[in-house]
Amino acid sequence: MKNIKKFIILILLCILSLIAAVGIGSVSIAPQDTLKVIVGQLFHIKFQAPVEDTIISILLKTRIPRALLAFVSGGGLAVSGVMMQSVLQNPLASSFTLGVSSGAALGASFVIVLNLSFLGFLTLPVFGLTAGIITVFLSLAVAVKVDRGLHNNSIILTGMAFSMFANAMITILMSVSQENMQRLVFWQMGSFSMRTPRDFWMILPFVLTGTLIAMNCSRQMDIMTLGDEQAQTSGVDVQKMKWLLLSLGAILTGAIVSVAGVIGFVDLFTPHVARRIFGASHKYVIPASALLGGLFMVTCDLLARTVVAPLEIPVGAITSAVGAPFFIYLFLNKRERKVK
Amino acid sequence: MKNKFRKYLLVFLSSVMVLTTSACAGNEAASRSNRSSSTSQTSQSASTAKEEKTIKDREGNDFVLPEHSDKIISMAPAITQTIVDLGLADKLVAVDKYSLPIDGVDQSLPAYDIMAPDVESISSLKPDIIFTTGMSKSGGEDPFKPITDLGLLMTSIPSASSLDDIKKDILFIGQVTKTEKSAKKLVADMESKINDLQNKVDKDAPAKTVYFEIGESPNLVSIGNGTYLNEIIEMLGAKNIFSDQDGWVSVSEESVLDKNPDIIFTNIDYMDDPVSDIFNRNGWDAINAVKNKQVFLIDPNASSQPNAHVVTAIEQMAKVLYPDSFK
Amino acid sequence: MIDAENITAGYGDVEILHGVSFSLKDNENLSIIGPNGCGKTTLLRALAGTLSFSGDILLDGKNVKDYKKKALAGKISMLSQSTQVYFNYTVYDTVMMGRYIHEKDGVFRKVSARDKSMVQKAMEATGIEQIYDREVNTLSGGQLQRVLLAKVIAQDPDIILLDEPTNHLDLSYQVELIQFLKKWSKRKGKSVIGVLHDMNLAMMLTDRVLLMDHGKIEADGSCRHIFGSDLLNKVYHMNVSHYMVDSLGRWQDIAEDKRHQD
Repeated sequence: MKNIKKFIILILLCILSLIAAVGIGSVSIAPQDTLKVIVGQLFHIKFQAPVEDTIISILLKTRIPRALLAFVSGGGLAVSGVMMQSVLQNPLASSFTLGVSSGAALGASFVIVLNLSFLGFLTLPVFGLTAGIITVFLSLAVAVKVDRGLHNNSIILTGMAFSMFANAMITILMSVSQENMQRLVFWQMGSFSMRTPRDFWMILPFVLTGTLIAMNCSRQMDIMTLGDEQAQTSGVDVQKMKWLLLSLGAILTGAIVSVAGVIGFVDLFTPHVARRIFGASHKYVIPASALLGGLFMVTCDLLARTVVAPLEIPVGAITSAVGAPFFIYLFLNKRERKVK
Repeated sequence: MKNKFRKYLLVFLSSVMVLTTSACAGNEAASRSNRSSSTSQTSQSASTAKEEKTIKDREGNDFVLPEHSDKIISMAPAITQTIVDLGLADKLVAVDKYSLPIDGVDQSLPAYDIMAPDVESISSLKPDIIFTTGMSKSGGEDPFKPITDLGLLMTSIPSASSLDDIKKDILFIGQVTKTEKSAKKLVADMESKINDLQNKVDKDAPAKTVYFEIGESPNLVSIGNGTYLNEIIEMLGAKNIFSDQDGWVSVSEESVLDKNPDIIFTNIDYMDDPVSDIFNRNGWDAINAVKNKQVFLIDPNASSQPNAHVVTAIEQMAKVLYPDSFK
Repeated sequence: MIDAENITAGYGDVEILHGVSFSLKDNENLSIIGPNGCGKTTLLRALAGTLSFSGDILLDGKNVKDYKKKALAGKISMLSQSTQVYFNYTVYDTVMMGRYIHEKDGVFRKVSARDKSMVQKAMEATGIEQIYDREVNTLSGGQLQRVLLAKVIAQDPDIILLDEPTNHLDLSYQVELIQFLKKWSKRKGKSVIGVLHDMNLAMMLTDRVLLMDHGKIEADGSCRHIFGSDLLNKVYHMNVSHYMVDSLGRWQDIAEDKRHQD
């Protein structure tokens, strides 16, 4: 099956998932009501038997913003994951490897503990994003000091070190400020609950720009998977690419983590699925991962909201619970193919 | 002559050794059976001049009341408040961090961390009784075990899940601190105030639906069946929209929207204006409570600490539900 | 074409090359031999631009540090001793990566007819056209090396650096490869610099040999001159010519026997 056909199917699945995410939730709403509300909103039609205000609120103000946010978050995390894996030449790398999520969580922790709000609703995301980016830059800066060639092992090591340091700081903050501990812990688990359309519009430019820039560098990323030496002698400016793509990944992940908290696994796992289905060429893998990431995240969020309704499970728990077995299955499958 | 003396010396020394070891063993046995180290030295039966009374503690275990309760440590603000109410504030030798702000508590008292109490420091204070909530045990390991191992007297009062529990907690504290009379009076006051408030309930009015929010970030948290807040709501003739759930529950925004409560209470204290936060929530303007501006802040301490002051919370809630009865 | 002057390079605090100088003319091939650790790979890396060095390397009169990345890769490219691959690119796609320097940047590049023909020819030259759609992370070491060699050939630089390219190859491929390289460089007016362990293959590739030892060039001249001297013995700490003549003697005996049988 050609890739174009596969893309069409993928896009259809994404649309389906979004429809499901709007139509299904912890409160059951009749499909005809859902349809009425959406059509009415789009075309400004008023129906004879109008739907209750609260139902309209649920659909338009709770579910739609939430589904859209989940989709772009999943897409952004997936694209970030692709970049990390290719640049670091490591199929197990993720945007969290460099410490961006620990950094962002630390930034957010400061805001929560010190009860900062001088930027209004932007305080938490801005602090989180800035802290995340600073952490990655520190990792890269120290790595380049230690290893002028900025080899991948050095980057991963310094990233891990800063990540662990940030985590330690968060633990200290939690123990010193126990009344906020619950909020900090929950924030680290990631959730799309109580998010507004504003959050979606804030993240969207990051994800779109990030994906476009990544796609523009898809050829270089392909070549970088052969390793620094081969990439360099093929004409790729490896150092420049590493700084660009790793920073881009950090910004992308940092932005998403600042709004939705830490949601793991999507960025590790969706690039692999994308490569399986579409081949390894980044020209396809990047957009495919974005779509798959969105699809996966929306589905997980749907499960998070409905599995034990009206209770909600943090979405990060679902992504790992669903993703991990699937990942193992992929791995085993691959092994068998190789042996044959 | 020398040999005989040596024999007598040996016998004398060994009998001294035997006596001292049995005394020590007696002491250990005494501490293991939860006696304060400052009291009895032998494991003799109860037919001595000192009377020891055994009651059930708030976890349902046998508990031997201490001789004295002149040095009290409280590791929970709800309990500290009760101790202050019973007029025993001057008997406190240490509290937990969150108890310091309570009116009547000496600000110079050492204040410890509930989850990681400083064992050395606590034992050096030689308290007669330590009150905890048992919440610290929730991690699996009991951080207070080293303290009880040292022979100090400790009792856990689990978080009250009903008004009756609150009353029993107060009476228990009264018994332990030998202020039964004050405790009974405190409970009687509570009961009479609650009765008064119950009389304000308009039995003919249709039950209003209530959503009580105790947490909002990142997920909404409310209370269900088996909490005293739920009991209060029902007692006041209203209906808790989550009474079909148990305990503390993390609920979805949708479910609150769907149940469309008439009244919303919040007792969140980490925000400047939780009521405005609720009014500004995306899509919540469709809820009756928001439409009719029926969103209220209930005193956080009164509603989240299980002691006699819960009456303040009940009063606030009653005033909202039946404003006419208070004119 | 290449003028290397006083090249000093190393890794971290350890200096491997201690002031190496040599020149290479257009269309001239070169074999580099020497014991392990003598700095052969380090020298290649300095030439390819993947390792920093002090000294000067001029390619066609221009300092290597003044070349832009793509332009440099068009002049000189290297095939490493071993490469790890972790992703499932096809052989064809991997070889096509060699055409990067000839492409315009951006995601909407079109593959030109010339690109396709270069890739096809490169695959045929290295004998991998049958496995063009296999995933590279499923190939054996030897197959992978041939794929990467095809990539360098498709890239078509003026100078190819090969770091022990025959390591993973079967004997037939080893010979085939060296013969191919010789023909290819002649036909296209290119240069091949090969680091080789096998002196017979070195002799097969080219007449000029660079003998290195302990980060210095011990000798730079014709095979005849170097192999005929005592230099090899000194560098390899054995009597190389005795060993070679001995082996040759045995091969000759075997050939004699065969002739008598026929």
